[in-house]
Amino acid sequence: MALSEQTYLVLLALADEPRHGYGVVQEVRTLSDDRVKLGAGTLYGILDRLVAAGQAEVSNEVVVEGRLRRYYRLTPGGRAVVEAHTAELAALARRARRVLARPAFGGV
Amino acid sequence: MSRVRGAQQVDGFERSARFWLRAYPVRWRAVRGDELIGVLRDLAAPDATHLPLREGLGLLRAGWATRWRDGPPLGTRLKYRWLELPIPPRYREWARDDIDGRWFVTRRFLRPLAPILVAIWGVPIAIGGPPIDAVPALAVVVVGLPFALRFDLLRPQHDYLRAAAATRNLLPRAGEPPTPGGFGQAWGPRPRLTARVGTILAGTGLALGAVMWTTTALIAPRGLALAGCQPEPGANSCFTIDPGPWDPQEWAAVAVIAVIVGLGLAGLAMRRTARLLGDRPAQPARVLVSRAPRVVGALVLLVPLAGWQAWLEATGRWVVLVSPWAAAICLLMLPGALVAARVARRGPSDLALVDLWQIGVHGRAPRVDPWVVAVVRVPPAAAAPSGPDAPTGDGTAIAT
Repeated sequence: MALSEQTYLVLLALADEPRHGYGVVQEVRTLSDDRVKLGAGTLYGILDRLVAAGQAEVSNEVVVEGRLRRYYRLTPGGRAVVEAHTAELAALARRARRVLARPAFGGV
Repeated sequence: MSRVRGAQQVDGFERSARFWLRAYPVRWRAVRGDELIGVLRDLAAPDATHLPLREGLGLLRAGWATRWRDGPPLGTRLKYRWLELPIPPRYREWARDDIDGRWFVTRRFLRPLAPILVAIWGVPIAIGGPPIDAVPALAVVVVGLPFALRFDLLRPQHDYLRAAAATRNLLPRAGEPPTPGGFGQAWGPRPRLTARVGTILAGTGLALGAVMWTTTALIAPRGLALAGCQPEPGANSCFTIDPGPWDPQEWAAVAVIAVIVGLGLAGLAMRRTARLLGDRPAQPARVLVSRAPRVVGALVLLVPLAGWQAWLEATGRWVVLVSPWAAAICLLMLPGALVAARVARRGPSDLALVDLWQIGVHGRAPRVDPWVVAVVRVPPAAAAPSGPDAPTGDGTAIAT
């Protein structure tokens, strides 16, 4: 499954601990420096696809102040995906730094 | 303002959220609906009374995306919908939502009508030809009728359609073992429309039809006239059917005969009712249903459609063709329907419309309804098929 930025951020949000839907939204905002604000529809579309792909799963459910909260966590497969994608991004960032460090010649 | 939904208080925010959530499939809502509403509450301002429009539109988009992702691919959908081929087993839950859905019958009837509509209306427009006068009215009838059917006017037909679709698509195939949580068959009671609601529907519909179409048949200016013509060489005779003036006098004779015959049949039905109504057997395999709101809804939709057709013929926009015969049928059946309505109002409360039909039309005591086979969800604890001694299944029968 090709990872969009939003999907990658949701995977990252689940990487350190299980989170419920609202917790994922908050963590994604933090990880993206308040740039990505997930709507509920978008979030559950991503969670559906991750669960169907075996990259995330439901860990438990609790009811808080009358609201059902279902917690999600990464599966080993999901963790491998997010680690691989993070490594790709890190390698890309290293290559980008090397390119930007070269002196610029010519121009138009 | 809040109201009770089940055991919970439902406020404006939740009502608003659940409205937008209807974009999602039924099964999805059953599993995730409460969870998603909890997240929406967390995301909303503390004093929010409605879901913000932006969030609602997001749910609409995501819900339809889920519906599309959740269902079969386009080719499978087309084969299921248009060719009535059985759905592959992995899409049975999707098919159940479809068959159980409110718009199933409408979709079923729109399927053959859509290409007809395209052919008679779309093609002339596409090739730049002249518009056909009657087509807009016909289009409304063609499209409106299936929507009217949504109100279950033809309930037995609806049951049949749903039961046939459930049997074709949901049941395990040969050699496939029944799966707990999957679908199987069980015996259940047969739903029958109550005589009171059924006769009110029939009486009101026939009375309105008789008034509308009789009036039309009496005042319509244009009809079809049979005229002789010069036969071609080798032909014995020649005649044409062309629009011409409409003469209501001949039709009036037919109408009088229809009324006289109708009164005679009504008298016969009344005598049969007096003789046979007390011979009704017990009906353990029957459940009486009312569906009064749906019946009223169907009348509200169908009467204007019929009225429009009558108006087109009464004003000469259409050649009078349907109204005289429709009026004669209404006049023939109306006396019997009024007798049936009187019996239903004064008779026993457990009388079904089919009882009156069997007594009045066939002249025999009503038969005992047999248990019918329904498609039900197999309970997790008992995957074995059940028989008439255990007829209830798990109470989630799709159709009988």
